[in-house]
Amino acid sequence: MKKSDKTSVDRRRFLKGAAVGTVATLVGGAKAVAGQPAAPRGSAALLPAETDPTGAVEVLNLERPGSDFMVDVIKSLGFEYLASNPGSSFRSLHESLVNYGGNKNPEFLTCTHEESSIAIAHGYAQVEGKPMLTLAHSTVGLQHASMGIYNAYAGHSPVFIILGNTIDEAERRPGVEWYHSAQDAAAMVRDYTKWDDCPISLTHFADSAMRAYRIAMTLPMAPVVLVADSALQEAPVPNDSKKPQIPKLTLDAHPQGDTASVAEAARLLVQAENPVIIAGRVARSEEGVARLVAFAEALQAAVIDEGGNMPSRHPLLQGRGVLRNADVILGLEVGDFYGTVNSVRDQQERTVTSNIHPNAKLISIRTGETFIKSNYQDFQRYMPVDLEMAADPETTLPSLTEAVKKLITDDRKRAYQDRAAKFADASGKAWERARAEAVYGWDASPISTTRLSAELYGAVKNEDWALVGAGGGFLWNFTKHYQRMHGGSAAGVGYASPAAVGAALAHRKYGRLAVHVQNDGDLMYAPGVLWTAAHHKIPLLAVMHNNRAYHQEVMHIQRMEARHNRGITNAAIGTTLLSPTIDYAKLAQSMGWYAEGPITNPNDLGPAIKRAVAVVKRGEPALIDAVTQPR
Amino acid sequence: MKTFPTNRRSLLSASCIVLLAVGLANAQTPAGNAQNGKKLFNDKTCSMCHGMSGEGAGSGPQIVPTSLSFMDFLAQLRTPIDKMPAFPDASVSNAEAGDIYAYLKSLSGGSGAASAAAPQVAAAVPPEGNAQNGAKIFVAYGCFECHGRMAQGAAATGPRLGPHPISIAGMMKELRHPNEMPPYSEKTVTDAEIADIHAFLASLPDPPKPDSIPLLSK
Repeated sequence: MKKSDKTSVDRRRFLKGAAVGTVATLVGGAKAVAGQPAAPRGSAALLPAETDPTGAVEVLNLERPGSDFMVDVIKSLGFEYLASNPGSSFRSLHESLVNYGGNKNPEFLTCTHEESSIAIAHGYAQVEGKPMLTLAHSTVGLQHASMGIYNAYAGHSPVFIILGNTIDEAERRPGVEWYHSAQDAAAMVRDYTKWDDCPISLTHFADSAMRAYRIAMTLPMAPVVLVADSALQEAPVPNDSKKPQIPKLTLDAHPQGDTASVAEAARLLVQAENPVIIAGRVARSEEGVARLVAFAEALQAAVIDEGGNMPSRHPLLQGRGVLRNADVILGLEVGDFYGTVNSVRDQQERTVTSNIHPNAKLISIRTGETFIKSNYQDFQRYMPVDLEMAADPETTLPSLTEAVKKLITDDRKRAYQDRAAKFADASGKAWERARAEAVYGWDASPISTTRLSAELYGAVKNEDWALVGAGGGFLWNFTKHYQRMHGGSAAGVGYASPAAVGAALAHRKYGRLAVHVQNDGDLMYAPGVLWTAAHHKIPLLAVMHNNRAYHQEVMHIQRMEARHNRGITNAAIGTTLLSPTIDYAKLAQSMGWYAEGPITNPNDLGPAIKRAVAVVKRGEPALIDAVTQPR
Repeated sequence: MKTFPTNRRSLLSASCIVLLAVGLANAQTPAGNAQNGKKLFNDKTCSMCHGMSGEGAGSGPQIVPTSLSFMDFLAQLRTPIDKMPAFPDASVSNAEAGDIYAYLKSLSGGSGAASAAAPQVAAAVPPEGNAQNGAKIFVAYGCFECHGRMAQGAAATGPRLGPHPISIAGMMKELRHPNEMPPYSEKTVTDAEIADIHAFLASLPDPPKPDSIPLLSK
């Protein structure tokens, strides 16, 4: 858009000049020139005017606001979507996005809560591996968003947050805008964001946007905040020597383990009789899966998969029991190494039992500890290890695999083959036993979680499906990386439903059937996300795991009741969602979803899910409310 | 409610069949010391996966009552056929295995082996419970919250309890001095009520066979 020199005026500079001009007129009738004070600052003559800087100025239009340039910057970063609840602190940017930017790349997703907008972006990032843009409204909007931001931070997920704010008090409208302004707007989330900035010029905005994006995408990934000052949004883009430019974006290569450490790790692993790999946040892509599988198979080592990295029926996948006999344990981006190799007993006096042999060698490869902060304790308990690499496992695995292969002798190969046969046999038998166990409670009402899992998988297994949240039982055959969410969260409840919507949106362009097992308590935090999904035609199959309680808390209260010897019949007080029970089908229907339920007869569940699958395949969201066993 | 049983956990939970099933009672049972076996069951970390009374815990299956012969028990210990780690002779000697076996048998209702804690507890237990009342208590006291209304168990919260529950003595031991679950004292659940719950668990019908359910087909 071409700027009009006649109407495009820097509001702040104009007002400043106008005020000074008025002063100049008052003090001596000299001809005032905007921006050129007629009298020295601080003179006694000027003082009265500065205490009464009013003026009847009428500036009504401009055609190239700073927010247009901000949109140019945003588009250069390649955002597909932005999730936001509207707020006046970014009204100019909002308008520029939908008109100047054409509401494309990014497309505006209307959200009914900032926590939902952040979690939508979080879920999207867990599928796409890159950030979605979110806009938040100054103080109150960021306060709503904060729990979602903490979840994304703990989940090592990149979210790009632009925060409206009005720094200059002279630019604030009286009243509400003062409540919605802060001196240091990003401060309240600084403990759980990776970087933030408050640019004071458009050039500064562009530079910091590039820096923020790069930092968000550097491992460990995390949310970033860029404050967009409202005056900067609404002032015209300079068209002179200060005309801003958009710098080039270059992302960091991921760090790889150093040669000596990789060689030492390979030596320990090859010599080990019972090496065990604990895989945390390792694979960010199908390539990452292939690298982990190749590495595990080179060693024929047991893998404890904490992050959904391996194909779920791979014979090397084992339970934590293998830790007991492990002589070398390799942790790959393990979030809680201490909690994995120890058991903490939840009794009146905490006791800790080691799950591993005292002489076992521990190796850790992770980026997680290259960026931690002090206040929030997401970094888990300190775990001493024998060899630590501050490196990305996915990037390091090829060189580690090569180093391992070079050291494997024929003798070791034979031992590995024996190991592999044992694991394969155990894996097959365990699957059979799981199948035998699944029948217990098969016809129970409320519906058993195993039955729900089996019915859901039976309805989608022949589709190109992706699970967008927790769940999946032994029957589910995960063969592709995208079939699971990656990253995790801080377990802040209310995250799952919007994250599922964000993930389903990411899957939409690939034509995948997004499937979610939706907890009832989680959905009730911000059910308005159902409307967002319907409004934006995001296909998602949600099946309620409706146990009519915050069940984790039921069990905690039971534990305390038992511990305190006060009977065990009041655990439902404050923890359950009964009287009245919530009709989630009606709730979803009211927001534009296809929905059925509540379903209590297990025999009715399968047919209902099949009907919902047909709806989702048409491109709409559908919800089945299944009343279930607690777990 | 926040999590769903994972694939891995389901697999582990199901592995309880290993020590429960297939009674080949043709091997010689050693005269183990159940009292020492109880101590070893904890010291050798068996309880970590299987619970203090073999009732199963977070990552290991229920293993009492056991109808395994000692030789089968020993074979499972040395060369596990599931995901249980192997315990070689250097880790658990044959004599120690005999003591642990005696302890498990004592929890299974006795086998002639010297009993550990079970006799003292068992003596206080009413011989028969009221299954109907047990069913009510199972709900009213919230047992179902972790174990399911049909006592089918859930990998994330608690093991399957029935049908064919562990002995009343073992159950009482686990309720009074648990490893993972909350401690239920006499003030909270009486011995008579435990017997009633036990009767309810014993009254549960056997489930259908997996092959009869199309969704569970291989």
